[in-house]
Amino acid sequence: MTRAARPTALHEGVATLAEAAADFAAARHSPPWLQKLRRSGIAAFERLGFPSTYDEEWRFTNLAPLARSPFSLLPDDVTLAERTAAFELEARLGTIGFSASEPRLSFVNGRLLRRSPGDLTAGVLFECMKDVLATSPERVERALVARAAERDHSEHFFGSLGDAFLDEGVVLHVPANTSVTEPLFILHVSTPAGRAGAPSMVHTRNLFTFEENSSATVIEAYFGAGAPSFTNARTEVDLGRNARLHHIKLQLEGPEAFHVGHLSVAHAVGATSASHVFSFGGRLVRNEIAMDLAGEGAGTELYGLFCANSGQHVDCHTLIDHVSPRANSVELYKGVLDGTGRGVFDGKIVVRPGAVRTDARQTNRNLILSDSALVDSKPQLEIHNNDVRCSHGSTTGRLDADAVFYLRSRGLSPEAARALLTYAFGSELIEKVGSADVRAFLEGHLRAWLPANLAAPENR
Amino acid sequence: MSDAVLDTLTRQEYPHGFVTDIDTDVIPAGLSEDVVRLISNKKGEPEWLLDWRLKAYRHWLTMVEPKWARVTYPPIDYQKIVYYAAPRSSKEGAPKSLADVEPELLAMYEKLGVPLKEREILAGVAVDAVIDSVSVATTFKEKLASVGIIFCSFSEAVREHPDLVKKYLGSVVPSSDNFFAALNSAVFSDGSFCFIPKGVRCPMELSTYFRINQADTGQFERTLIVAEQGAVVSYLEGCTAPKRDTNQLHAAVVELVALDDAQIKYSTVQNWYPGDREGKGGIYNFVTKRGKCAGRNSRISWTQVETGSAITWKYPSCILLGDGSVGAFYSVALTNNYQQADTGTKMIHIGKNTRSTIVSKGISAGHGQNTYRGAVTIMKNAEGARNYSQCDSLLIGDQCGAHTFPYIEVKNSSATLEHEASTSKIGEDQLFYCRQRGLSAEDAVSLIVNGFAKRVLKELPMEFAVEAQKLLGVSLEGSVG
Repeated sequence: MTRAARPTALHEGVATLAEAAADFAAARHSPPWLQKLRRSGIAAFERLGFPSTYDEEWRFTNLAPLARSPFSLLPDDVTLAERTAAFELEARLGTIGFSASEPRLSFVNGRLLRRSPGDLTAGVLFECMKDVLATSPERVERALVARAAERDHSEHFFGSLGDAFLDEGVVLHVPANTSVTEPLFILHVSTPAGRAGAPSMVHTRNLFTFEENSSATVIEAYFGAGAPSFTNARTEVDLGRNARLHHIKLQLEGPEAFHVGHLSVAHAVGATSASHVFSFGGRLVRNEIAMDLAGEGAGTELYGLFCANSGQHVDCHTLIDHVSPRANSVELYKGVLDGTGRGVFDGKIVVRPGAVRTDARQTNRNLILSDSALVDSKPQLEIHNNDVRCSHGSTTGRLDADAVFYLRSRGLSPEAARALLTYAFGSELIEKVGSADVRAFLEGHLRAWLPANLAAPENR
Repeated sequence: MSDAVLDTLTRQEYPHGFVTDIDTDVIPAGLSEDVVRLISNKKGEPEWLLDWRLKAYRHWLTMVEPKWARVTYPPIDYQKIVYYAAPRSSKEGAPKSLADVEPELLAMYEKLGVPLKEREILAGVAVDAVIDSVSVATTFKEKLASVGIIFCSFSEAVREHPDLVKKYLGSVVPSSDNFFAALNSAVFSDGSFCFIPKGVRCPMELSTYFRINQADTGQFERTLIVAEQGAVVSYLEGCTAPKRDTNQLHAAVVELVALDDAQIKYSTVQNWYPGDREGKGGIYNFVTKRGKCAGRNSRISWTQVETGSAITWKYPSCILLGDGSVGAFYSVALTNNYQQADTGTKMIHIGKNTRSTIVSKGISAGHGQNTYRGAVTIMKNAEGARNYSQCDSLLIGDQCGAHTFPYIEVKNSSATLEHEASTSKIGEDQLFYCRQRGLSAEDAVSLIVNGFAKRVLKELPMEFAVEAQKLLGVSLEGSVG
């Protein structure tokens, strides 16, 4: 349908955000480059506005509820109520994160709650952004400014918003030839603030640099209680030659949370990355991943499991940019939609003219469990080169009636049969995770999420 | 493979690029309400149709040209296009028989290989030929009329069967549907109309041949096919245009309506002038094609072989409204030199137990850019819907591009959808195998390309399958390395 130009942006609520950002920037003593970065961030997001559904990249995700909700930044000090609630939520982590040896940074509503250094490998810097900005801002200046400059071309609303509120997050530096054995844990907890006023918003920025031949596993977890909240989380990674990143993101925000997450990784020659996304919580969730395979022979694996039940909308957006020759990518995303849940998968693979010998495979599978669940899938290939092997596949359907019948003939109740099959569908992605602790946690969580009684599989 | 082979093959000339010198009735370039009135007046149309055109024109004025497709072209100046050009002979009314048709015209169709003459009865094809804007001759009319089939030019249908036209015109593609459909609705000059009454199986293939002859003209034809309960029809469409250095616009609308148990098979071999090796000239083929499976168990199938046009931008679609209706889309799109194609389909499942199949084969060579863009939408009440999509791309040379943008929207959990796509070049080992069996390099590539497209080509009616294979050969054969 073509009509006279339709608005590709929503400007509702943007002015309030700009005001909050200006107040925030004025309250911080920052070096000039950082002030400039925040100012241009404000100018950019004010100009862009929230993308509307007429913006092709946001076609299936309506941000109007987010634009309409008022959110405010919380003061720097953490209240007792927040602290208590955060500890309760943290306890839900079970086995992961609680072993004393794991280095961990915990944040509550965007402010640092606790720092557990664990057994951090020598030379590895795992610090919070606020400290770095206060003590040695020059260390992050180049990376932050360069990324912001890139964004000027791509017109990214949430990226600019992140620049405007740039303050807290994690700075990770892994020196050359270092392999970090223990996973590095970044935990974000959103809790009711225990204060009057608008619900909290959090803009967090993680910056990881991996030098040559280094490797590390990073777990980012987002937990939330029931209160409304808005999290804008960005992680930007630079991988040096032959460096390797394992990135696991657990999204378990509360049922009224808005969550926009973005992970972008720049790969040097031979660098490889693996990203695992598990998205269970939130009201309106967007998980974005941008993999830039700039170095020859780089590789990336993208795995994602997104589950949405009534009242939830989960949008997974991935971009794999094959710039150089002989790079490989594998992508598998699965969606499980129940109740009135809505899922979106939009994955794009771009193969540039010079990227010969590219091997890219993309798969999206969606399982619909209820009559009212919705899914939109848009797997895309953009290929500018003939020496490639690329494929994508997408399937959407409900549980196989024959498989359900088979399990029932073995004595399972219809609910148990359905739950078991759903579990089997989702567990493929859990199995791809390296850490046994994370796997155990996810298995438990997936079982708890399932519609019916699969909570105790050993009792089946 | 040797560049020499690639070179000779991609240098193949456009064989249909002749201009026939025919005295033509042309109106001045430009578009305004007066031009719309003039066209309507020239065709002696009734008041309601003029109103319909004017409504479309006024709506078109409020619209902006869509920009979302992956094609690039300089802005079109809609005031420089001639919206009506008719061979002079048609001024004295439509020809009664072939004897009334000008010999140059017939010679031209002879060159094109259109089986227009009665003696070509063996071909068994009834042809409605549209040159520039006006339908020049329709063969086999009497024979078709004897079983109750109406197959005539659009203008004639407006005169002879106004009720049918009024009932179905714009029922599938409304005049406000999109920018080019609105433009077409305002200025369409002729086209084909086909009506298959209840229970009739059309005894022969129906066919339309389009040709743009006049310079600077746009061709805006409209095809409307209605198949009543249980009717069956197979329809072919072919197109060519002379070689010119300027781009010409072709914005057609095709509407298909299938009632209960009816079947419509629509095949296209699109070979408009694609422009020269430097990408100069060629037709902009911006077409809206849509079929409505209105009745239970109705079937609509689109088959297209797209080898021509500088830019192809079309999405033959099916609205699967009736329970148990079936839609199909088979496409081979080939882009060579600087051709661009953004084509695909939309399958909108509304009725229960509706099924659709999409098989799209894209071949890119030279600097060609080939995009598959398709949507499969399963609406809320489309219980038990089923879709299978397959989109394969073959890349020939390192300057071309192949892109796949499928949209899959599911609003009903009982649906089963599969989408697969792959992109690759011709395997060295496949070539080696053929060469080793004694085939020349070009024969080997021709064999492989034809094999790649076979699943679509076999959907074409016989007469067209031969032409389509030849076309693929002319444009591509052997140019793979």
